[in-house]
Parts: sequence; C-alpha cells; structure tokens
Amino acid sequence: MTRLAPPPRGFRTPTAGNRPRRWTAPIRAARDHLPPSAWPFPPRDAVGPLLAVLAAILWLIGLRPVQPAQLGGLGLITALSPVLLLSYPVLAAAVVVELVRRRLRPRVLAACTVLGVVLVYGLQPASEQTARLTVSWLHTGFARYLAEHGHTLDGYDARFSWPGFFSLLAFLTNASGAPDASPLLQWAPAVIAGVAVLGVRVLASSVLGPGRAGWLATWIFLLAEWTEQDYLSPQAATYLIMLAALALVARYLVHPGLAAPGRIKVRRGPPPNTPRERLVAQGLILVFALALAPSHQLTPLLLAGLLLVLVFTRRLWPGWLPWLVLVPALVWFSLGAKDFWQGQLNMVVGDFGQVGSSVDQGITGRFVGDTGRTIILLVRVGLTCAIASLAFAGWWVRRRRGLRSLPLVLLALAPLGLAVLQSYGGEVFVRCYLFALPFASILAAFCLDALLARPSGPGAATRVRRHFGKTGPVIAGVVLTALGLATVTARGGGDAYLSYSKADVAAVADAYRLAAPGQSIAALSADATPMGFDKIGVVTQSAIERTCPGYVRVATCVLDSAPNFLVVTPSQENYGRIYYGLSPGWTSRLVSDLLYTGKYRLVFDQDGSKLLARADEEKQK
Amino acid sequence: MTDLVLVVLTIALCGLFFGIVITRTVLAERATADKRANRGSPWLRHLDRAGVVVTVLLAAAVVLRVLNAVG
Repeated sequence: MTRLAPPPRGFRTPTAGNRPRRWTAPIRAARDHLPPSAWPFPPRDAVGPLLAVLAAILWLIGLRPVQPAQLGGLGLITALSPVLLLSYPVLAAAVVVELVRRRLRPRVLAACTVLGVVLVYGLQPASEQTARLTVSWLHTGFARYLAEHGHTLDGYDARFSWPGFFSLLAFLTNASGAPDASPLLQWAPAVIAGVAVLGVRVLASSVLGPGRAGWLATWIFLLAEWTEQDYLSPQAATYLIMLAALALVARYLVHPGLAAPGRIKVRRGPPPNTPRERLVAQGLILVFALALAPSHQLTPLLLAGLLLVLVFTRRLWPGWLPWLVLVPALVWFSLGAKDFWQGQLNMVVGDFGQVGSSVDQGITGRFVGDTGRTIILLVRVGLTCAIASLAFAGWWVRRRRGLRSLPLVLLALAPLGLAVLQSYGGEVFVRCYLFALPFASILAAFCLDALLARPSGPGAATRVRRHFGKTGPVIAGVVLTALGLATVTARGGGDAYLSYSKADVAAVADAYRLAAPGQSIAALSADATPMGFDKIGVVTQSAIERTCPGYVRVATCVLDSAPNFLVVTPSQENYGRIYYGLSPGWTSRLVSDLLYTGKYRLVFDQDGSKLLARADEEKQK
Repeated sequence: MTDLVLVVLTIALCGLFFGIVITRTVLAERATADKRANRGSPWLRHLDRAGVVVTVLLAAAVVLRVLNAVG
C-alpha cells in the first residue's frame, strides 16, 4: 500500500470547506432538502456576491440629495449617512473574499469592480443636483463656440490651441441636435473613471497576468484616484488614450515583460506575438498619437517619455515608437498652437528647471483656507504618501525575493519629471500623481498580494516564507477600505464651492439671456460659479476676485469694475468663508449694499442664487 | 515669407519622417515573419540613419519656426 506524504503546512484539503459553520448552517439545511441540480454551488461561493449586493443596497439606502450650500470646509463627507459609508468596507470585504479564493471568478470580480466605480465615482453625480467644477462648464462653452462658428477663437484661451477634444464634443452636439454638451457633464466623471479603471485592468493583467495581483492593482487604482481629473475635459480623454496605448505596448510590444526580473544587457528578439499583431498595435498607437497631438499639450510628451523609459531599459521592441508619439505633438505645437506660444513663449520655457516654483505653486501654495480645507489637503497628501509607501513596499517584497526589475519603478517615477518642465498652473503634482498611479498601483499590488495566501504575481513561486496568516486578508481589507473612504473624502472635499445647484446654473443662464453683445458678466469667484458655458467671445466673463484679493471692500471693487451683470451664488458664499475666513452672510450683505446704492437691481433670485443687473441698463433701454 | 518656407519644410520633413518610420517598421516585422532577419538588416540600418537625420532636421525646423515667429 502506497503511503501518501502528509500535506504541506497550510494546505487545504478539498473537504476542509465542508466543516459545519454556524452562519452557514441554515443555508446548508436548505440545500440538503433540495435536489442536487437546484443548488449548483456551495454556500461559501455566495459570500462574495452577497456582500457586494449588500454594499449596493446599503449605498442606495444611504444615498440622499446633498445641498451644496449647507456644506463646509470638509465638503461632501459631512453630508453622507453612516449607512452609505458602511457600504465601502462591505464592498472591500467582498473583493477580498473573492481574491482569497483558490480559483478566481473574473465575472464576479468584474461585477464588483463596476460596483466599485459606481460607489466611488458615481457618488457625487447621484447625490448632487447638477454637474460640478467650473472648468467642466467652461469646456462645454468652448465646444459650443466651435459647433456654432466652426473655428477656434484666437487669443481667448490657451486651451483653444489644442482643440481636438472640443471638436469632438462639437461634432457630437451638432450630430445629436443638442444645444451644448452640458447633459454629458454630470455623469462624465463616473464614465471616464470607469473606462480608466478598465484601462488599468488591461495594463495590469498584461504586466502581472490574469491572477490576483492584477485585480489588486486595478482596485488600488480605483480606490486611490482622488485627483478629480476625470471631468469632461481634454486631459481626461487623453489620459484614457494614454492608458490604451500603454496597455497595447505592454501586451504586444514589450519583451521581456515589465515585471520580468533581471537587467537586460542585450536587446532581445521580438515579443511572442505574430508580426501582424505587432503591426496592428503600432498602427493603433500611431492613430492614438495623432489624436493626442491636437488635444492636449502634456499627455503626448508624457507618453513619449514613458516609452523612452522602456527603450532605455531594453524592453520595447519598436525603438522608434517614442518618436512616433513625440513628432506629431512637436509638429502640432509648431503649426497648430502658434496662437498659444506667440504671446506666451516665456511662460512655456520660463518654468523649465524651476522645481522650487513648482513645489511652491503645487504644494505649499495650496495650503490656504479654513481647518476643514486643510484637513482635506492633508487627506490628499496622506493618500499620495500611502500609495507611494505601498509601491515602495511592493518593490521591497520583490527585491527580497530576488526579483529586481527596474522598468516599473522608473515608469512610476518618470512622471515626476513634469515638475522640472512646468509648474502647470500649480497643478503639476496632481498630474504627476495621476500619471504615476497606474504603475504605482501595480507595484503596490505586489505588496498586498504578499499579504494573502498563494501569491499570484510574476515570480510569486519564489516566495520562501509566510509572514501573515489569517490576518493578511484582514489587513488587505482594511487597506482597501481606508483608501476608498479617504478617496471619497478627498474627492468631495471642495464640494461646498465646487458643486452647484440648478438655481446657480439658472442664474448664469439668465445672465446670458439678458446680456447684449459686448456687455460683461461677473462672478465673485471664477472657481465657484458654473460660468462660461455660453456666449464665449460675445460677452466678457470675469471674476471680481482677480481685482479684489481677499474680497476686501468687495462692494467698492464691484462698483469700480461695474460689470453689467453680477452673479452671486451660495457656492461663492462658501468659497469666501472657506478660503478667506469671511463671516457667514457676506454675499447677502454685499447684495444689500449694492442694491442700497441704487446702481444695481435684482433680476433673478432663486434658492439663494441671485443675478444683479446694472440699474442704468434699464434707463439706457 | 521665411515663415511660409519653415511651415512647408516642417510639413515635408514630417511626411518624410512618417514615411521612413512606417517603412522601417513594416520591413522589420516582415523580416521577423520570414525568419530572415539578416536579409533586411542593411536596409534597416540605412532607414534608421535617415530617420535620425530627418528627426534632427524636423526638430530644428520647429525651433526655427518658433524663434522666427516670436522674433
């Protein structure tokens, strides 16, 4: 008789899952009374999906409309119900339960990921009245101008020098017969973030294989993308194109893989694909490069830089690919963006090498405002540091296994080079984080994967010791929950002044209706008003804040600049309170003062949103 | 007039660049498909050199156009 060797420590026999458990007893009892064909899977298999369904139910029960006017410096998080917040740890638990299974279920994990996108990125669209962020409203205005005139407006805005995305929006609105793209605004972040998560999923599975590590990278990206660059904008669209290009490169044009260990001294042969597949992949990347060049000034440079990293580390098969991406951007800059650089060349090259300026504008300069805003900024910094720490830990885990691989680390660090090139209006570190996040997530996935039993990433078989027992999944669940809740907090941190009510939009729309060509419409703050979605180049649209720092003697500022129309909204009230410590009701007092002078009259008043018109307009008419 | 010349030059060099790179890519992939990588090597080397020259000229044309227009 053959003696079987004892199972290794930690090995689970197929019958191990059949031990009776208290919570599964009723399900088991019900199953025992049914014919085998009616109960196709063991109850343990239902835990993950049931937790995901529970998370969805909790989220829907806890969801309630949010009034932006009632928010403070901490933003959206203070208006969310505990029941809704509970849905995030429940969903994280569902994902971890699925990921620790011996055999992964891609369909269940994909469904959980879609649910995660809705829970994290659909929260603001579902709870707020209308689209947030002034810039997104302004972009619909640009697209509207292009749709109506068929060309860009010279000398108006630098973004008109890269009109590719606005042209697409103009085409879509013209083709659909809609007056503008504003119906797309509200849910655009959820859709764009969802596609970005899909892109990272393809990239991660190309680098890490179809196993658990790839799913962990996808989830880390999903739960740590706090930058809010996913509104309807050229940078969001080009980010998706960049992810698609990187996924194609990682899948078809890299040899050996990005996570493969070792230093490549001699360039190896072609990747293990057919030449036809590689040609199609390169053709698609050329198409992407041609789409990127006229759409965004930064993204093609960054994609070319990332591809150059792959060339230098001898992983990229077609060595000309970075130049294929860079040349269209360069040619567009020379031929298509003349309006931008003709008057602002100093701005383009003046910041080069000024890292101190980038740090001042991008980090220290942002720490203004009340305690709530400071906490939100600290949450964002904390999230960034957490992802950097997890990525470093992932690199360390691989190093301890003897898997030294440089490309992923360099790809995660390369976007920081942007800070050397440009301060980008104080947003450069946000962009650096966004561009580094896919690769940092892949590195961080190695760390979380090592916490769980049976690591799955490339080289996982070289694991020699097990440090975490049953606490590993708990730690992974806590990390995912903390990332998710912190991201929800950070993304909604500015909602007191960045989200708007329908009355705010109606006040601005009324101003557009009343304003004659050549007249001026002003708001107290350009960042806290849904302005710019119409009458681009027809009426002057400005902000009082630019000529009135800190809103000191704001009534005098308004009377001095004398705009034909003044829009006052609760979001501006919150902006003044949070950024400049103004006392509650400062906008109401301003309106009263202006009405008292007799130089302005009230023409629109709804839910706290007001439109004032110059009194002499009536007399002139 | 100078600006027009530089614009035409930029467009011509851009076309040349894409022509060279696409031809080079197709030739390289054909060579790997035929498992006769050595046969295409001289052509690939010539195309690589031509590509480098055209890229440098293109970058110079772009810089010259910007400097000329700003000046």
